[in-house]
Amino acid sequence: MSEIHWAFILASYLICFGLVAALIASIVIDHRRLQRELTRLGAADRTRATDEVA
Amino acid sequence: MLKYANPTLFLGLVSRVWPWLAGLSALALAIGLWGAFFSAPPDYQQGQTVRIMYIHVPAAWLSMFCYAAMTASALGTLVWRHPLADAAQKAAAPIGAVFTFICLVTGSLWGKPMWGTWWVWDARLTSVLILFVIYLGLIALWRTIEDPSRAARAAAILTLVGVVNLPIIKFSVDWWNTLHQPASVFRLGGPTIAPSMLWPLLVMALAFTLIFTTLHLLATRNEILRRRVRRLSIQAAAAGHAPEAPAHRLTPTRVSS
Repeated sequence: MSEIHWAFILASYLICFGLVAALIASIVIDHRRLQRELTRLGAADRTRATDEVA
Repeated sequence: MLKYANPTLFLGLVSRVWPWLAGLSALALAIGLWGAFFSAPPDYQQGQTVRIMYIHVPAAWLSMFCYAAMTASALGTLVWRHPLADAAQKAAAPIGAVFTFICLVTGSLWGKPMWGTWWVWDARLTSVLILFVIYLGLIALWRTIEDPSRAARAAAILTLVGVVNLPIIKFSVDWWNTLHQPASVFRLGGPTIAPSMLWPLLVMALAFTLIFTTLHLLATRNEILRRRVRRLSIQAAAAGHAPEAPAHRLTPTRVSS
């Protein structure tokens, strides 16, 4: 009986921290992707500004 | 507070604060887990299964706290038109949904050995399930409406309508005859939990709150960056210098009429 209870406890903690880890990973991945996009768009923006001046 | 209505100042604040918050979260979590597994005794009725409480209860509190914070943000969007309010609200919804899901799943995993069932349509359980559905509805609403300002207004109104569920969750165990036990920490007569079990629970609640605050700040920062990307994409498209298609489609790249 005790082993069954520990299985439920372990499952609870694994699900909880697994989900929190997934949430952290999604935020970090999203941040890196957005920074890449900003860098790319920022470069395009600077190119456009240079073209307009030329 | 109003000073940080400026997104640039807010981004600077987040960069300075988040490593400290993450460190404090890890420290509180380590102390809380040590207390939950090595200091707190088994319950005289529940045995070792009581250890599920140390994640279930903080997740439940946080699911409600997150919604209360979203309600404050909704007021900020509709009443004061705070420029960061809708970004903060949008960023909080997935985090609140995850903690509500954790609350439901861990409650179910506790219920099977203790009650003999995974689920009952009890007032407390059902009202928390409704909270989870509201979170999903808000996430879907933001994804459905393309114009961010219209989406923010609609989400703020739905959030304010849904806040009626918070007192129902809190008092459901008093108003109806439920299988879920009544409040044992935040009650008028004081906590009924033994101090040896109460302190790890409160430390875990603090750890979860710090984790939520850290994740919320980082997710709000992402939301601000997403808006910058959107603005730059629109400017580039308007100038006829449309950049190459991104590897992953960004959610709000289309412009509504």
